[in-house]
Amino acid sequence: MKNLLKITLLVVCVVGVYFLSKIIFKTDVPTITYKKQDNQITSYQSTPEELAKINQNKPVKRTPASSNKKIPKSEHRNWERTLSSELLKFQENNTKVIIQDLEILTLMDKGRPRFAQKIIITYLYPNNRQSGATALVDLENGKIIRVWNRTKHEDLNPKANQLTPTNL
Amino acid sequence: MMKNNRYAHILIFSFLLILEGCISNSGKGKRTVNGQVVNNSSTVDKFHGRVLRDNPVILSGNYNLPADTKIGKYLLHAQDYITSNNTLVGSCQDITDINNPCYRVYQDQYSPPLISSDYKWAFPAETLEFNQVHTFYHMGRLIETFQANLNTYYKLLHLDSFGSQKTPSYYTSIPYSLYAELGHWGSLTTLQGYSNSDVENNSSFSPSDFSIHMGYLKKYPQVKMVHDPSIIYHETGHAAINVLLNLRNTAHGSNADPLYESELGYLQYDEGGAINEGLADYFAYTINKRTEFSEWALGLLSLSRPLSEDSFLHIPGISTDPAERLSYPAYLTYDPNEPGVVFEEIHVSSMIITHYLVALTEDFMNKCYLSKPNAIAYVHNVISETLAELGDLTSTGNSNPAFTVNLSSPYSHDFARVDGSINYFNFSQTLARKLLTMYASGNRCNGYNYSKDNIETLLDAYGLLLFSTYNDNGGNAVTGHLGTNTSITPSNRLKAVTIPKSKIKLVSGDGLVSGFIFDDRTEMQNALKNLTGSLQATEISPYIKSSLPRNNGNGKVSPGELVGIAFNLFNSSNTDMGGIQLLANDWDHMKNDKPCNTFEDNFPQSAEGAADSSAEANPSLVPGDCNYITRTLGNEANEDLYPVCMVEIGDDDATKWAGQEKLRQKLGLEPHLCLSGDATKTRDCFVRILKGADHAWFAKINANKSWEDSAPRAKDKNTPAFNYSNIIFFEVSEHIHPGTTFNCRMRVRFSNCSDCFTDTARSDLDNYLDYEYTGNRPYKIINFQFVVTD
Repeated sequence: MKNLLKITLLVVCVVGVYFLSKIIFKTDVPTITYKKQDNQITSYQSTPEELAKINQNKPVKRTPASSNKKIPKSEHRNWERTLSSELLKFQENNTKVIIQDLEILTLMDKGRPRFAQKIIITYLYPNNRQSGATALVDLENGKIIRVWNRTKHEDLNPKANQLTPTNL
Repeated sequence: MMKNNRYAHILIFSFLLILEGCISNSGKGKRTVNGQVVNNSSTVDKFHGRVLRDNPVILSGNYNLPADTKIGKYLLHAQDYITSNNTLVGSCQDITDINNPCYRVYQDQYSPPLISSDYKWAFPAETLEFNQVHTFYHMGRLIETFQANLNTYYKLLHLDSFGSQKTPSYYTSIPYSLYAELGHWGSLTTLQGYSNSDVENNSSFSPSDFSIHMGYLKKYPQVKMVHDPSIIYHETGHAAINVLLNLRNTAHGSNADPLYESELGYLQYDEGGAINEGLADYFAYTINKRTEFSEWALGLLSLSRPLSEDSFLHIPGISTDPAERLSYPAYLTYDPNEPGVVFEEIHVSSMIITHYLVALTEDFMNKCYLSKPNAIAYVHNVISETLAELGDLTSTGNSNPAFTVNLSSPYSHDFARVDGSINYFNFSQTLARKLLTMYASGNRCNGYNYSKDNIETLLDAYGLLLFSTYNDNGGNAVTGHLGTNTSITPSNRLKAVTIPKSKIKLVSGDGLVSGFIFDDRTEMQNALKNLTGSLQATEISPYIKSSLPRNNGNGKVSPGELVGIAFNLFNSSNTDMGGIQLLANDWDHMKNDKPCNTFEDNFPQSAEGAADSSAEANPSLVPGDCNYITRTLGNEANEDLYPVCMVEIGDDDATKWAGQEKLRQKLGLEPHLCLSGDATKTRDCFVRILKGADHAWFAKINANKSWEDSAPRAKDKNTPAFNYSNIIFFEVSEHIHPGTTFNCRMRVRFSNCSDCFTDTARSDLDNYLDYEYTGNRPYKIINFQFVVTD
């Protein structure tokens, strides 16, 4: 009986130390840049230059008593990889995408809870241009549910986007 | 010896003192060098610097100023107060934490903030530091004016002379909780300005991270956009517009948080975007009060814009005479810099709104005896009310509990994107109602009334008196027709001409093109790159490969392709049509996979597979009936929105039209092989329209002409020039058998339409209710058939 108690105490201590160390030494999930290179999607920890391009200091909705809270990045990022691949699928090589987390939400879809995350998507193009938007993404499949707040560019040469029909 | 040393020390010390005085006085004593103001720390006081008070053209009075002009020569001796902080951070109403400021400026995204250790902000004019200070100063001018006007109006509405809450004199869209919920500066914190973004021929506003980026001219790289303050005001103006549009989404009180935010403008060209640009130009006007925009940066490229008919930039024949105002839709495609050329571009179509707002300002000055700054404040109040209502995704609209806008929460964002999108009709109508409510009675226009006749005659001079009533009761399904609506005075409508929707149709006939097809591989790859890169389209079929291997450029719709179609619409009236919107988004036109034939197109016949509606009331209150239109974008039981494209299915007896799911079942195609890649989404299994590219806009179709003949010309001058916003994009499944016929039942409307927004079946000529825009009645139905070829 005594031995059993000792073993139980030992197990409790070990487990406690393990979880405590996870809390104490918890490291932030780094921001990842997804880049299209040689028609493949590569990913790496975002460089300081890339992080400078996105507004890292963007807090949550301001409240009268708020402080600059950092949103913890969820550790399971499969949805991010899926989404980034989709976002870069039709872009030219050397285009990058960075995703910033905002809030996690639970939506009800025909009576079924659906876990979604508000994010900011930023495209970094090879010509130094960048575009962004706020989006709601389904965390189960990485698909975008809704997009809004897209960048408004004021191009002085908008004719560059025109097309030619093939049935004339 | 010691005494001698002491004297030597005193002598040396005195010499150094005198020397220091000479050096430090050199700048102050020489405030100019070669006639140019020396702009450095020694020539300004603490917290001060110098900026260009306006653009170099205005400061010099020389409209032919060359691009290589040294802008420093236009600095004045007088100093400008910049900030009492040691970095370029600014406060505004209730946002005073310098760690979380109202606005701040950086050179670009890589650079650390500019720090002034001596709290002085004077730098030579051609430096990056100067550009930052200059940008900060001018951003601050607009933000301070914007916040001051908003705050003054808020107090007028909600606070009595003791500062206690009072009931507003009229229904308002500015909530009492505006400041408590920090809705006066949006849901995000700091407006970041980047004064030296490395982008050519471009400036931008990014609402997702609340930032403005200002680049340079490609032709003259030394000319930065920020050197022209009106561009700073314009971009900052976009931020202010975004704040106003989302005012009630941020300060939503007890209403549910809308989750999303409103936008004004979705496509490359649409009227929401044009209105956004017009408002941003007007914000520039509110600061410099001139009738031209960007004489320097845009002027160097001959792209400067007029803001009033008084401007010298206009061609002869345009004046402030009511008959010669810049009217809708005639001047939608007019660019004074190239008056003989047709443009379909939001900065061109925007001018009608800007000119109207400037004219309204002047009308307030004349009719209510206001100074220009006060008249501008009044117009600002009207704009605030209008945008706050139109952008409201809580759907409450204003403080009238019976009034709603944008269908209903939580469907409002989806609704506002296409069916309820902002255009010249609903913008003018809402603005007019706000004017009527705010200033037409109660002597609230500086002790006078700005009469209903004043409102209507000025709008009419701009061709914007497009509505029959002011829609006082909103669009709610239950209350939207209750009470009385204020009607316009018909005799005030002299210039604005409205056209019935029966006058628009698809071009048809031998040798005529009803739809321009785009299936060239390279062009469609570029289209996808642009559509997805701008996040306009975010859901591409997993079966559409990035190389588009099935795109063959044969000008036909083939299996496996991504195809764009620009529909060639025809205006059979004697008046120009403006703001044509072709809707190819899902709508309420089928039941149980069978097409309803209860619409004006009488398609298809019952024997051709139409849903049986013989037992239905008309209109019906039973969800699931053809004569019932969903109130919740298809989220009620037995209700759904269906894709526009139905398919012809050969039966043993006959050929019938049906939803695509029926074809899938007949072919035995596994559901996951449908274009969505999702086994639960099979309604657009074979032909799917890209969400985001599911509506098209055309600026103007001239009287008795097709869009093809009215459109801007391509380089060859013979064919139209197409924007992405003219095109509906279709994904075509590779599993379609060649020879399969599809019919896409789309809807079309336009802004100067007499019966697209006004329910002419009603004697009171009220607007359609919001839910009806999910159905058929506000639109002309356009059927387009095509055969999928091998």
